[in-house]
Order: sequence, then C-alpha cells, then structure tokens
Amino acid sequence: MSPLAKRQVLIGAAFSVLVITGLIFLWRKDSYDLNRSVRQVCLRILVYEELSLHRGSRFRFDFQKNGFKIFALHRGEKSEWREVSAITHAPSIETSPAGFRLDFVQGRAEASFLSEGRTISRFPLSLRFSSLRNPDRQKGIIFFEDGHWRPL
Amino acid sequence: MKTATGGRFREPKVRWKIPGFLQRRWALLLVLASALSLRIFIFLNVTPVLQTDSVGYFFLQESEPVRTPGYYFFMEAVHFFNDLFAITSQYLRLIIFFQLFLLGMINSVLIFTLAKKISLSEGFALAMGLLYNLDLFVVGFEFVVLTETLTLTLLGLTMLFYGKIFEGVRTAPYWAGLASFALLLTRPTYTWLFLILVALTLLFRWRQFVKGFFRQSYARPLLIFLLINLIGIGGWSLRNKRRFDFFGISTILPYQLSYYTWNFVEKYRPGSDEELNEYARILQEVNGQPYDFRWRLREDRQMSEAEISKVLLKLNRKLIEDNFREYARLVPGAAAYYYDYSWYWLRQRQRSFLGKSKLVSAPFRFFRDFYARLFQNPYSLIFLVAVIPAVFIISRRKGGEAAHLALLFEGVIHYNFLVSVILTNAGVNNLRFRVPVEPFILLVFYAAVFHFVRQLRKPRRKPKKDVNSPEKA
Repeated sequence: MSPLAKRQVLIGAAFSVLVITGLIFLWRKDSYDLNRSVRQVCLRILVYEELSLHRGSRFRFDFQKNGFKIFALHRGEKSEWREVSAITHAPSIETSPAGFRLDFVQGRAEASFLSEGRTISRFPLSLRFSSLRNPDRQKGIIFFEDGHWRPL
Repeated sequence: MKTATGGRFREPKVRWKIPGFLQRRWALLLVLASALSLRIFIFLNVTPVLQTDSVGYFFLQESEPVRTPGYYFFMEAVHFFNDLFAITSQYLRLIIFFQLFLLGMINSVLIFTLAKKISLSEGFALAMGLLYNLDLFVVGFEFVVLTETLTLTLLGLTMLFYGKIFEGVRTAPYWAGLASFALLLTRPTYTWLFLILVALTLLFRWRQFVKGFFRQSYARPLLIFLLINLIGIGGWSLRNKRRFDFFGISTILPYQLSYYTWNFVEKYRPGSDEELNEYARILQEVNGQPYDFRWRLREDRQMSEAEISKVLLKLNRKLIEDNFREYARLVPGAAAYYYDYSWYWLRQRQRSFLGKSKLVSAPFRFFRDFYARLFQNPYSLIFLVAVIPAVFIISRRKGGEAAHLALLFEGVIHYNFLVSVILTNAGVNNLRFRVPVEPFILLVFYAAVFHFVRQLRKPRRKPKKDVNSPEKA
C-alpha cells in the first residue's frame, strides 16, 4: 500500500469512528445523560469522602429533583453550613426521593432523607435517577448503614 | 492414496511459516506480550484508591486555573465512552484500566522505540522494553489516579516525533508540536520544554547551522514546531484571561513556591505597600499554608482565583528576595527529595499484588533494591545522572541522531530537575515529579553502559603500516 493510500485509510477510519460515535451519542442521549448523572454523583461522593477524611472537615449533599447542593460546615463564632456549589443534572434527569441527604464525616457518607420535617434513616436507602423522556430507564445508588454504598 | 497413473500421491507437507510481519517485529511483540501479561496480573490484584491530590481532576467543567486540563480531558474521554455504552460503574477501576492497558502499553512501545534509536540495537531495545515494565516506581503510578503516566506518554511522544523531524518525516513537526502542547497542558512544568529542545538541537548542530545546510533542511519544520507551541500557549492563556482574568497557563506557581516560603513566612519585612503587608499578616496567621490563605481571601474578601494567585506570587517573591539565604539553604533538601527512592506513593498498593506471586515480585524487588541503591548514594547518583551520560554523549558526539537524542534526553532530565526543585520544596511531591523522566534517566544510563561494553568488546583495528616509515627502510 502506498503511503498516500495508507494516510487516506487512516483518515477515513478516524473520520468513521467520529461519525459512528456521534450517531450512537444521538441515539443513546437519554441513557448517556442518566449514566453521566449517576457517575457525577458517585465520583463526588468519593471526592468528599477523601476530603472529609484528610481535611477533617464536614460536608453535606442536599438533593432536589433536578440536582443537588454541596455545603461545608464553617466553624466560626457559630457553626453554620455554607453552600460550596450547586450541581444541576441534565434537564431530562430527575432524582428521587426529594430531601435525600448525605453527610460526610471522617471519610464516611451517612445517608438519610427528610420527610415532612422528620429525618428518616431506614437502611438500605437508595437514591434513584430516572429519565423524564423515557421513564423505564432508571439507575440508582444504594447506601448501607455502615457507610458503604454502591451504584446499582 | 493412488494416483490415476498408479503412482503414489504424496500429500504435501504443511510447512508453518512465520509471517514476515511477525519476523520483523518479534522483539516489539515480545515487549508487548510481557507488558500485557504483567498488567493483567496487576489489574486483577490491585484495588484503586484515591490520593488526596487526585480529587481535583474529576470534573472538567469545574476546572480551576490552578490546574491545567490535560488529565481532565483524558478522564472525561474515558468516562464519555463508559457513559455512552454503560460498561461499568467502577469508575476508578476504569481509569486504572486505561492507564494500564492504553497508556502503559504505549509507554512500553515508546521506551522500546527510543531505546532502539539511541543504541541502534534491537537487542538493547528489547531489554529496555522488558526492564521498563519491571520498574515498579514508574509502573506503580499506572494504578494511581494522578497525572504521571499520561505525562510520561506525552513526553515520550514529544521526544519521538521531535526526533523524527531530523529523519525527514514531513508530518513530524506537527505531531511533535501537538504532543508538546498536550504535555504542557497536562503538566505546566513543561511549558518551556519546546524551547530547550530547539536550543539543544542548535547547539548540537551548530557547525551545520553556521554553514547554512541546517537552515535549508530543518528551519521550516522547527519553525512549525515552535509555532504550534506558541499558538497553543497563547490560545490557552487568552482563554484563561477571558474566563478568569488571568493571562497564563496555570496559577499553580505561587502555590508551589509557598512550599519554600512557609518555612520563613514569619520573617516577612513590611514594605511600603500597605495592602501587601495586610495580606502578609493573613499569610502569617495561616502559617504560610497557601490553600488556607486562598480559602481566607476567597471567603472573607470574595477575591477571585487570579487575584489571590497574583497576591501570593508577590508575597512569595518578596519573601524569597528578602530571605534568599533561607531559600538557598532549603534547595539541597528539595533536590534530595527529588532524587529519593521512597515508597510513599505506592506503599498501600504494592502490598496488594507483590504478595500474590513470588515469581512476579522477585524481579520487581530486585530492581527496586538496585535502583534504591543507585539513587540514594550521592556518588552513584552523580555518576548515574551526570558523569556517565556526559561521557556517553561526548564519546558519541559524531554518532549522528543517536547522540542528538541522548543530548535531548539529558536536556529533558535536567530541565525537569531544575524546574521541579527550584520552584517547589514539596517533600514527597518532589519525588513524584521525577516519575515522568525516570525511564529516560535509566535509558541513557543503560545505553551508555551498553555502548562502553560494546566498545570494549570490539576488536581494535591495527594501525596501517606506513610504507615510508623508517622501520620499513
């Protein structure tokens, strides 16, 4: 094969991979958004477990339907939770139950959820992610009493 | 079996022939096979754990100017395909998988190829390819979520393609430029590396350069290489200016310098700038800890990342200028950490698989002990990184591209040392900064030893007798 033909084959192959990936992305957009949202939450849990262990700080995730807010416990004259950042999921993704809360203490993620002003901790607790466009598509993260958790 | 004419038909013997491709590439395939089998063993026996430094690399959209985006892109690309095809929910293990089986394998091939170029021997390249995979200090970082393995891949690619410019490959300057730009986006330490490479080439080819031949042949490709880097750096700096009001690659420098200045932060001498003195007071209150200083200015004064970085750089510069002796006194310690051979980074992970098989752990332990002895003894260290490479380069100065490549390697090794040591005194982090050049240190060392042994074994030519010599007469 001549060098020119080789180059043409390589460029063609690269272009084909890009086009096919793009088409699959469009076809599986719902599934991609769902997986991405779960991954973003899981990685953040890993990150804040590590930060709470090594910095000795306390952090909290408060989930709403369309995203979640991250708070850090500020120890000044009086302790207060200060918002660090707010994460919004893709528009087609919804989390439930609303009021789900994660507290990070000494490298552990403690799960609970608030219902009618009361904190309910019945383990195992699961945080569910669902696609609004395709309600059959659901994923979740399960939390156990001892602080362990895993994506479902 | 009888044939139509009654004779016996002899079935032709099936002769197995090794395809030409395999015959030509047997050494490379052997390196790949050993690298792959070793990595399968590691992957099955290692549990990935986060380092505290890993936590900032996961979310590309939330990247801050203190970090460059190279490693973010790598992780995001891996996760993109995982999100698209829902392969696994073990996200850290997925990153480790790609670091081991993609970057690690590329690194093995790069070391093999570069070793072949520097020694002009396939046998030596094979040995180096195999030895690379037994250096746990380097391979160990393939199962840690940090930038080292990617940096090594990009550094190796930069060296390979930069070397190919002088073999006359037309596309080489473009690939070398892109690899170099990706490298400095992964680790800003390498921002000025492209200039060092070009300067060393000019030094090596000075005579050709003066005579004009060099300019005719290589001026254009080198210009392309320089331009791609400059455009890349300029573009990324402009993006930072627009987004963060900060012109530059990264705001990491003041934080790195703070590892020096927190040792003498209490010796700050107030100057005429009242505002700076006020910031110095805050820095002293947090004992010179740069990330606590950032937190204070961000929380109490709502300052931006760029403003904090500027203030911290000013404070650090003043502290170093006013206390230069204190700073200089700490530099040898930083250098000692850089060339240490401690197991801080891999302690947790090496136990998990070295205990599984004596067959695998024996060569790892042998080379660990050997390299630890080489690096921890100051005399052998000087021979390893300075004397032997210098003698090698001088003795091969007329050896063409191989000597040029050896000189470039030495340039990269010492550039990395100087930047890492002069700009930061981060203890075990300094040791980590050595990882991307560690295979090149060993490559030049082994190539020099190989060259000297080959020279000794080569039969010396007898000098031709001069027909007009008095002996003849």
